[in-house]
Amino acid sequence: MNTRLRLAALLLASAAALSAAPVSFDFKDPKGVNAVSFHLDSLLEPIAGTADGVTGTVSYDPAAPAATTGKITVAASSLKVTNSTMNEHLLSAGWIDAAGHPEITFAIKSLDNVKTDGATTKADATGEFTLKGVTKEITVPVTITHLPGAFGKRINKPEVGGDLLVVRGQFSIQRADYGIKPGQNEDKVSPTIDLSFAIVGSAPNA
Amino acid sequence: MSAADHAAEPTIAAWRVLLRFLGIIIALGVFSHWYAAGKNTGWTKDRIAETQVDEITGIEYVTYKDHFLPGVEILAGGVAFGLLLSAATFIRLKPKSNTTR
Repeated sequence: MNTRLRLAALLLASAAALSAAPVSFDFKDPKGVNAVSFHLDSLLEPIAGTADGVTGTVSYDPAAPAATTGKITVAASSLKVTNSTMNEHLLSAGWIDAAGHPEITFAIKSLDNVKTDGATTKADATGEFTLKGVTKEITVPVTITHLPGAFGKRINKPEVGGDLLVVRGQFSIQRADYGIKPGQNEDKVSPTIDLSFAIVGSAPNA
Repeated sequence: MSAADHAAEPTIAAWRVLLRFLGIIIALGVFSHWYAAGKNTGWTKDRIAETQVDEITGIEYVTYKDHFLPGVEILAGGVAFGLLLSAATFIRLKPKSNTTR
């Protein structure tokens, strides 16, 4: 009897250890909702748009959110505004140079000031942000929400298990820091680019 | 008033009247189109952004729909062209004198 109890306790402990292991979330969203929004003040009206070519993976452990690592990539060619002529200008070599530098990336190095309340964790994510071939270390305040078992429900297949990880945040960069028209037309187009994102990663059960 | 007096009155050429009205129609037409399309006070757009919400995650995301929305540059250009066309019909060049000394 003792042996059976010990075996059961060992199995439970193993299951608990497995469930607490970091889970890899894929941010290439099957429903295509992931996007980064950008906003620059400009003459007449702001230049605002989105970039929806989001991919990447994040390793997240609900029991240890501070240990989160990962890398998010945005396809530069996916930048879109409501005027196609302006869109061509944005993607050109003078601005984003989507042909020469096709990826915009953020690689998480560490999570600091981690505060968890239920399924939601607020933290400062420090990592390497790369835009137009220039890499700088930045810190982005993020809100991470872990939704256990929500993957199947989202794709209308409740029988499929799996978790979702929603990451939200916003930050600003100076376009001159990344070689985007440094010092040019600052009276017409703001030198500051405001960025915000709300993206979801999926971890279906294997 | 004699028939000779009538003949001496300046007349407006038909093409001037036509262009005058055409200019006004262009200006009014462009303004009406801009107004009816939504009074867009920004630049012209050829697609519009629509915000949607993902039910499970609560994420707000943007989709784009092809839709032409004239902006202030089309309003200003169209109205200015129409009014200038109309105004140009008021310009009268002095007729060349045929008299020789």
